Amino acid sequence: MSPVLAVHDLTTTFRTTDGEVARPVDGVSLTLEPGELLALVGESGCGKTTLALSLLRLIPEPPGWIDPAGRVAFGGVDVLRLEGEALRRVRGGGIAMVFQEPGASLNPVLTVGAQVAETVQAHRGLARRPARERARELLATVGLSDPDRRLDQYPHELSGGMQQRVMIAIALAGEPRVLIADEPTTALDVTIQAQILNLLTDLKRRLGLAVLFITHDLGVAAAVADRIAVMYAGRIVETGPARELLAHPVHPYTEALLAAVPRLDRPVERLRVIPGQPPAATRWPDGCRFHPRCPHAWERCARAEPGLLVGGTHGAGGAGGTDAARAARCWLVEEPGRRAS
Amino acid sequence: MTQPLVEIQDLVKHFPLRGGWGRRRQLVRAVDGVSLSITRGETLGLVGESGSGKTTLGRCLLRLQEPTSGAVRFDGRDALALRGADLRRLRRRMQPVFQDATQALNPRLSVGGAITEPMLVHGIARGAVARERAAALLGEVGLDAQQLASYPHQLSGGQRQRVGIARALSVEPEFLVLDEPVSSLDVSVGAQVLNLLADLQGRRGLTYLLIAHDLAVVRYLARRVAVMYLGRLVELAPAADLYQRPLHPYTASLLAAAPNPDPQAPRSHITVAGEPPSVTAPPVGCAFRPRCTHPHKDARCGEQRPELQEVQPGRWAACHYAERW
Repeated sequence: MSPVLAVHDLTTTFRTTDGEVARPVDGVSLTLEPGELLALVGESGCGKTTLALSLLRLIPEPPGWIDPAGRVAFGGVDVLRLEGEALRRVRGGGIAMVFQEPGASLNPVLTVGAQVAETVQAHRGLARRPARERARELLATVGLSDPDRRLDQYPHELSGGMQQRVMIAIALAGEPRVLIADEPTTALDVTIQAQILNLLTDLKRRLGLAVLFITHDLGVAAAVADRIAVMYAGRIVETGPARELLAHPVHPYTEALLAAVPRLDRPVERLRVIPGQPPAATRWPDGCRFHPRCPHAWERCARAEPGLLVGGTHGAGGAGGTDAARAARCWLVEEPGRRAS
Repeated sequence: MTQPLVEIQDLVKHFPLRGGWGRRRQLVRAVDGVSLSITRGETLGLVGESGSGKTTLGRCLLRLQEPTSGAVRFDGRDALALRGADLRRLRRRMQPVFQDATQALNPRLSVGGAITEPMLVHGIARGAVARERAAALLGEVGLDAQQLASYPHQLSGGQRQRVGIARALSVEPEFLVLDEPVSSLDVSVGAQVLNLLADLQGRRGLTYLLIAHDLAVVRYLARRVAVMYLGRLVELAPAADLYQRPLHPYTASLLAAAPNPDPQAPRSHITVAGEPPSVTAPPVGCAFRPRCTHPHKDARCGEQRPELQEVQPGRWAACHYAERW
């Protein structure tokens, strides 16, 4: 199958108020197939949200700009080169987005029905009455109970979980092929989070949606992702099928991130921590960007940055073979003997 | 059995909601009759989702909020009866650490100021002595003494939380109420803070009430765990037992819903449908009944509220059918 979204060498730069140059997204490439959920995992400041915003050209310019060498191929066009009406049609119509705080995205003085219907009208040119009918269907699609009553409710009358369902309904109103969900469950309680994760998995399957799911939580990624891409310091550092990547992480950062999570399924032992602080986007380290914090680093890592190297399997496990879909930005792929035990 | 350091009996905190537009005055039953005790040197984990009342319970314990009724005893003394200087002395012995150190720290106060302020308030130290102590405390929480002159906005989230912990420790308390201490931190930073909290407890013999929504975080530090739902305890048990075999269906569904990066873990997550009911109009009978998936759920659950009972030695649950779960 050919990808519905293909990002190639995307770089986003900002000029900070101190006059420094920050590059939160630095040469990122990724693809998304129809019906696939790709989890983009990383910690604060790694660039994952800037990446999502860049895909829809939602970066304020200035102070930011997207490098013209990059490409965001979607439906035969390059989103980075669209303007005006064509860009507007892609935003919401082709690629829709859901954010972390549904309460902050909804208009408090408009009913839920009005807000969903407004989006339906904007994207599909329906008249008021059919738009409202479509809004009702969408609310049912996202699993809101009693959609007729919900249409006339205001956001504050809904819980956080229900508000997020409404946001997803609004995102679906333009019948997008790609959904970008930026930490959509981070503000929700675990039982409600589980429901929303299930909904997204279900929509992906039912509508053939391609989902780019941005999260800091490897547990959440494990629950929904078909593939995972781990981001660190503006770069994708590891990518692969979700189960394989979690079972046999190749990149030391992925490995360290997994070891830092308190687990319910393992004996309680002291958490392994990653020494030092994540670097700032104004000063990415030379060489491999993780090398100052990496337990395996040797001089090559400080000198030269590896590309996304294909063919890494983790030690003796070897479950993945040499799957081309697996790649890690780490010299250990070429020199596995250097891995400190 | 030694005397508990903290003892709560039938604690209640109700907030009146203003009716407005002719509506009837309603009550939010944030904490609705909670009893528990915490032994010196232990960590009690208090788990619940938003609106469960766990934060209000912690605030009542610290007397940052006056409970509506009930009793709190600290080291054998009635903590709710204390006033003036006695209350100040009590406050010195119990300190809060909040979720968001950005909001807990005064943005105009340097790190040194934030840590020495409580010492001044409680008359413990001032001037050069206080500054020296602040520097030592910074070292103890893993920061550099050079940070004394920094302001909160110059620090990372993890560093700010360490300053929050140093500030709490500045008056040499015995008891800390840790309210979601790592939930706004990144995974790798949160792990550092959890390790720090474990070290401090070992070194100083501290007693913790750890309030968190994340069961895995609680499991990492707590020896016993209390689970709260809609203002009441639904389960209280030694951590090892509770995680291995929960006795309340709510605990079971929380455990099943917790994200887990194990690639072999099952991927179905709907363990509990629906949303928690309104805190102003909790259901009659068991508050969890509308969402409960217990196979023995029946009419009794809709009529009679299950009380927290000792179902097995040391294991308490508020479910009519706890033993058949």
